[in-house]
Amino acid sequence: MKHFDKKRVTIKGLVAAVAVTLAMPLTAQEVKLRRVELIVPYAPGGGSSIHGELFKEALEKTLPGNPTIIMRNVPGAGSVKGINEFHAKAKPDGNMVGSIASGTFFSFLVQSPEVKYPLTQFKPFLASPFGVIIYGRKNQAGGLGTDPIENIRKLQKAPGVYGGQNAISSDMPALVAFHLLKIAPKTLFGVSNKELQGAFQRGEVTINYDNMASYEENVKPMFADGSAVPLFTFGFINAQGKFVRDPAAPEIPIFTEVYEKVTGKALSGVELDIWKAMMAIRVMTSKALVLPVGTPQNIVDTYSEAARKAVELLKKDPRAQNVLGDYEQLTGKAAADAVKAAADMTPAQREWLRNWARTVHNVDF
Amino acid sequence: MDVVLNAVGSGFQQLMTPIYLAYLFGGVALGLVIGWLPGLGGISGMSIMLPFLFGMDPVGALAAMVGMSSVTNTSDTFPSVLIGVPGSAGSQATIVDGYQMTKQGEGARALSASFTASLLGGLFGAFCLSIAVIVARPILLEIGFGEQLMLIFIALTCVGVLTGSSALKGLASCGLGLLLGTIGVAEVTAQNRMTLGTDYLIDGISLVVLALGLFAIPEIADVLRKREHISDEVPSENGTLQGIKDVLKNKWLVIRCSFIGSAIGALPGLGGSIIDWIAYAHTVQSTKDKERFGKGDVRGVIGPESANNAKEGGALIPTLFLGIPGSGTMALLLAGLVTIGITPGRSLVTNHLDLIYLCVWSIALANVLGTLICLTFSKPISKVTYIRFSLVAPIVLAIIYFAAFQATRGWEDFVLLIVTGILGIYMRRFGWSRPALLIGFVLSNSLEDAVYRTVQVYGFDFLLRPLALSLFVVSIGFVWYIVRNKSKALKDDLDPRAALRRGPQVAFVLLTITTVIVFMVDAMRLKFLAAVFPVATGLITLVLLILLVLKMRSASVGSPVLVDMEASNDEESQSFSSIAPFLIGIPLLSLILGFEFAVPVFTLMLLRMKARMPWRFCIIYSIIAFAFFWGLGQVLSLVYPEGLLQYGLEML
Repeated sequence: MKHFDKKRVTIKGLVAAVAVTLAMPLTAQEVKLRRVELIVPYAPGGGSSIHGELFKEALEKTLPGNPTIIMRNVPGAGSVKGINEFHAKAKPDGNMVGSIASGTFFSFLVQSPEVKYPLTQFKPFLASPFGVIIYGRKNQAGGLGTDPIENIRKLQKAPGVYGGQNAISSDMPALVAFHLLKIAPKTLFGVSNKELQGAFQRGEVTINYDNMASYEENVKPMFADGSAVPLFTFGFINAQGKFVRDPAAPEIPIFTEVYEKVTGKALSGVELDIWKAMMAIRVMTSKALVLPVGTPQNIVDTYSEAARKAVELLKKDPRAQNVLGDYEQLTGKAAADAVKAAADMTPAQREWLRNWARTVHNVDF
Repeated sequence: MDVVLNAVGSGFQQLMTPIYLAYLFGGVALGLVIGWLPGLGGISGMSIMLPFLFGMDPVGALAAMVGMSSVTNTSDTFPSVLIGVPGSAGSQATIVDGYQMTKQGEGARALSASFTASLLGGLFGAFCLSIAVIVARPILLEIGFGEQLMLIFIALTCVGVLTGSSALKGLASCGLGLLLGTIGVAEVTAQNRMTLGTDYLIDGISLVVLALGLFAIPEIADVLRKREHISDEVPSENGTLQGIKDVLKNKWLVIRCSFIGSAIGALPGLGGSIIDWIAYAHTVQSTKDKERFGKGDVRGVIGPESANNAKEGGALIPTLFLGIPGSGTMALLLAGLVTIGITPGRSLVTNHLDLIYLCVWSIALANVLGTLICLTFSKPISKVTYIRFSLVAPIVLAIIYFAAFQATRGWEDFVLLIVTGILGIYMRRFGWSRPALLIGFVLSNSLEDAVYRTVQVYGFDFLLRPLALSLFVVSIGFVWYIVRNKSKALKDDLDPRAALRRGPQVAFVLLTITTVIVFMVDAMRLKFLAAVFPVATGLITLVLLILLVLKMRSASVGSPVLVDMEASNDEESQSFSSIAPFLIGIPLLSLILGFEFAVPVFTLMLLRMKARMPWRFCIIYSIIAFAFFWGLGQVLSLVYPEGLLQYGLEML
């Protein structure tokens, strides 16, 4: 084992050194791409792979020179393995693109020792937002009804059971939301999404969250047949930086609205900052495509422009609806800002989260 | 009822169009190839297909996907039976008797028996799916966390049947498997267990690599050392026909095992990779004359093979009716369905009943097609076992390393394969039950999760739930039945000479004890919820191992605790050290040349130096080997492990 690691480290160093020297003259040249590799750090068939497949096809058409894009899945350790590899191997010449997702942000945020990538220094050129909905079973807490505020009040008294992966990965935003609303559900960790669907239908888990992708087909029917009620969505952040209702479910109130009505005051201070970060990670940069550290601006611009055209192209593509939903795709600077908002956290915010994870969920990071 | 019959008919009609039959056939062809290649299973097949599904029409896509996933468990029998390498996670148990039959010249019979059993199992699965429309939902919603826990208990009792001659060693192996299963991140506290500071172990160790290490590596080492050919005997005449007859003679076994396969495939909690072992345990348990099991009993092939094909129909039940994937393959099928605009779940039954029957027909037809193709090839392909093994060895070894590499597609997969291979070699030599270890490993996470979830949601009240209670009673009944039958259970041919050299055997136990202690010490630093399972399992295993050491010291000649297959070694066979370079040749060469070039160079060396073939033959063979793996790499968009050569080129 040792032997490999040592070798790898020295080789990484050499590769990096060569890459830097190669990159210097490139800035002056025109961007030439022939064979681009897209690293997807999750298993084939997952959301990131489907998203990657869609943009792979579109970018092949819109990038100058119509390069072939090869998508490669490098799953492991909740995206950390693939993004580590991307960071170690990618030269800043535009021939390798990384796909990052919420897991990439959470591992970076909690400073997990395996993380070897500087997330804030990547060069994002596309971010695809996706909404989140929180819902509960109707037959709990004395019966939930149609009034969202009343439902929250009932859950404060009888909080039910929530299932998920663990407190410091993709479930963090939902758990933080409950905490801010003073709902303390019993938690069941290590339960995969597919198991959760069964557990929720059986009533062993009573509060659940879902990506808006499955809203129409999986969640709405449960509202229709009266087995479940919506609690709130995370909403969406518009171009003016305001929290607005989710375009896929505008009839359901968003977290900040519910918070204000239940507590009588608007979300503010460090808690507002935390919530903004959670929104940035979970909703605004649900999936993003990035170029490696040190990529020259002209290459980033080329990709941003290609991504903008790709988005236009995909607007006419019926397949894109399932993957991208009704959300406005962020390209270029907007994408970079969204990733920055998600990845950059002040020490005070991190301390708040650390304290929360320790005291509420007995997890250290 | 009319609605259902209409849907049955319309599903059939839709499938019977040339274009959809072509899709189905394409799926079947891909599935057969994928299943045949060790390390690749339904999941890999699905991920190859997914990009092509984008924009396809639902009927064609469904026919292709279902066709593919229905037959991987048919063709995966080839490597399991012929070379002792598990073709996929679902055909591990087939090796136990199937490979023994091959060694005795009955490879063709084992293959045809297994294909026929697969066919019947597959049809049974399709039948289950077709009637599940009416009854599935209420049943599936009854299986809560408590019931899942009880199902896992019942599955664990299978270990009792598969301990081998020494119950103590078998149970300790199972304990070791449970401990190995705890490696990786403990989600409850988000802490890493026994990851030794590597990223690699965060996701735990891969079942495929472990199975290759435990079964394939020891068998290959054995053939390389002791035999000229895999099969020593002259091929029996009419093996193919005999195999079909064997299945018909054991039709009730086929039905029982098919039921087991479909049921476990449909129910949440256990997962597909345990099905073949449960079916195997059931087969052994339910037959009177057990002497031949483990030595080439055809029933040991029929049982697991009917179950693992029946599983697919079963796994489609929760996938289609509840939108909850019944297996890894089904999770990808679900993703595929969503990309083509079908959302499984309640609405599917009401709006698209014909699509469900399309699946039923597709499974049935795919199984028939797959079986016919496999049967046609079984006789010629089984001839491979009569070829001099040194000619086959390079490609077999390359396939094993290729298979292991599919686990995470990193260098570490090779290292893990070597480590588990060494474990496998010694377990085999000293008579430890490898199936017991594997069962423990597969059930480890499910068991830990189920206990934690059950206690968290129900406390101990779960035993008041009628279904959980009856499952509990069933599991007690199983244990009682196994204990009662244990006295009649099979005994390995014990070699009295094993008692003369106790040193190496005791050393192996002491090493195992150290490992268990390391696991426990590592767990001590974790929070209670992450530590309780490894510590408890470790304690029980430790007690078993200490009892074993005490028993070994006092055991007399012929006791089942003393086994050493090397004690009776004849002079002709080669020592381990002389074949070790062959076993690890590929990874060593890969360090320098990268895997792609290591394979042809290794092939060339082995053929020239060991098999002493003419240069021209060696070179052509090596070029074919290179082309094969290079092509596979292109299809699967793999980057093979790179060596100094590639790093050097990159720097130029």
